[in-house]
Amino acid sequence: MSGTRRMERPAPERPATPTAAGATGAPGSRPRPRRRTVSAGDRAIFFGPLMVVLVGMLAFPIGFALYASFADVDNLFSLEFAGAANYQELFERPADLVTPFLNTLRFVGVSVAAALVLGFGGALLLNTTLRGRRWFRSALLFPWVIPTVLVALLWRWIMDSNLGGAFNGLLAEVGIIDDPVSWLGSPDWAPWVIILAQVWHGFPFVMIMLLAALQAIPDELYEAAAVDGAGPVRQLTAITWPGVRPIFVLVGTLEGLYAFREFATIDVLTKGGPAGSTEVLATQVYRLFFEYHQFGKAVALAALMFLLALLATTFFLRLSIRGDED
Amino acid sequence: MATITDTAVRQRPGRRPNRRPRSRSVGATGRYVLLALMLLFALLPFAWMLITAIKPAAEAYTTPIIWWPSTPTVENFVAVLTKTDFPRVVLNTVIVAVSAALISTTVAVLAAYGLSRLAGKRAQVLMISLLFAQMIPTVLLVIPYFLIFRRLGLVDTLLALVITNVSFTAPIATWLLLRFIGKVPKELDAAAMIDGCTRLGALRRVVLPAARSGVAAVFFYTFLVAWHEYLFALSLTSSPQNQVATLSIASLVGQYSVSWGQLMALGILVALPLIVLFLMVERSLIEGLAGGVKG
Repeated sequence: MSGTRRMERPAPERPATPTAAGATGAPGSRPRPRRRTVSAGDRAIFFGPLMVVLVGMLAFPIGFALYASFADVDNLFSLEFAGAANYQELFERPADLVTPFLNTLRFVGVSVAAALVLGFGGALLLNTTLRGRRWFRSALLFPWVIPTVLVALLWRWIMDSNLGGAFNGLLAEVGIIDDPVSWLGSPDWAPWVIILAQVWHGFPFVMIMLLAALQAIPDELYEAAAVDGAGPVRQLTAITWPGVRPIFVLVGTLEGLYAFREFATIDVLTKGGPAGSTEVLATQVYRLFFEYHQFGKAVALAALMFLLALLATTFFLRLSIRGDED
Repeated sequence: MATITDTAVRQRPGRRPNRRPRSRSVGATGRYVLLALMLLFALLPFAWMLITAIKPAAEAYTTPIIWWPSTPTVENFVAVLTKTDFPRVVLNTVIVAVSAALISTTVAVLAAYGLSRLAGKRAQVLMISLLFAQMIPTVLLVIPYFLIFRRLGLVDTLLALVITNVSFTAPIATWLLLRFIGKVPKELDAAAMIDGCTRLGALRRVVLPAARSGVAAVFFYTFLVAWHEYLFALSLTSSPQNQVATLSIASLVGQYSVSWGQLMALGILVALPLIVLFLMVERSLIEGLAGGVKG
């Protein structure tokens, strides 16, 4: 009761000097009133630009797209609300969606798994006292630096369907094949070529993240374990793995998200072919919208992709957090 | 792993277990072999790119394959520079990538400073939305941007590419910069403010110079992401004078007028500056990426 009265009394003063309230707590001790307070102007300067990006350049377009997925977008201008018509149209022939969905699962699943294995292996190797360690690390990061389009171009040339292609030429030289294999022209092989290109481009990022995680594990833990008689395998499972597991899951999730939305690799290598064997959801959306001009279906499928990404990320990050609590 | 115990053991030589030295030398050889294999996987494609680029036309596409050119030549590089619109394409790419990187880094410097110095309870929400931005499938963004830019008359302009690039590089940049700005002691800018600087002045005169390498790394990273971008360029630009490098490369694939040797020469001209730039900022870039994950 007395509390309320006390609050009422200084109230008239407050609006005049809203920022002074915090500083009165310790008036004479130190001259730092400015540091303790955040004016609205400061907030606008420091957070304003980011908010413009997050709200104006991400949230607004996304909201716009999500609304458009429930609107009539056939002429791209009217945007009248149309209920679930786009989604109905999208699911009229579910078989059309099954192949790109399964292709996406394989592309994301295999490329992330391979990138994690290679990246973790590389990180473990680099986290030792080898001579030329930094040189190795720099060189292993080169594939990550070059543009995805160039990565795809390079692998397209390596996997060329003639014996003039390096991979065919190599296999012929060794005697494994006599006639050139059309790697990118075969529905059996093409999906693995795009995965190969993706892994080559993506594993360095995984490696560098996991290397940082490994270096953050204190040496004392290993010393103590060695004193207690724990062998290399036991140390890996008891110290190394728990130490990197949260970042392992996080990096895997990020790689998965990047692979899920990957477009350039596939567009340049195969354009989704042959016979749709490398068509994934991202390339499917692009084709529906920009090539077939089925705008409604495209935007509905894109919205579903977003939902899928959200669900998968939540699931995996939960996993990561649970790993932390173990 | 044996490798890790080595490090631990070496710091305390007195406690070295008996078997250690032997397993270490065996382990080291094995590790070099494995690393060499990984290096082959990472670098052989580059080697093939270089070899193809310096091959004379007659040796580029033969059966059986010619692994090393009889007379290395620069004719492919000359052809690329004269035949294609390479200088203009590079200029476009640099304009887009540098503008996007400049804007993103500026946004990120301000926001990262704000998050590390002024943030209240809303910091968590902001951090989560930065991560959230990574989840957006690019194709989902392309569609609304295409519709919006059509209405604004921005389709087929470099400005459209700058805007779309900033939309996803600014959040990453903020995330990465947080670690660098967070590391600068708060006492530094507090002292500057007591000396009469405004907050912005303190950031510019004290914090920014102290976090210089981090800012450079983040600038490079956003520059790289914008340079790599392909889907927006493909969807939002059409005329040749607005073509960026990724789009130009992709459009040359499968054209009979452009040989593989020329394409690989183009690849080298694109890749080499990026690799050199990367080596210049590698250290802080890696630190920033790692910190971004840990934070």
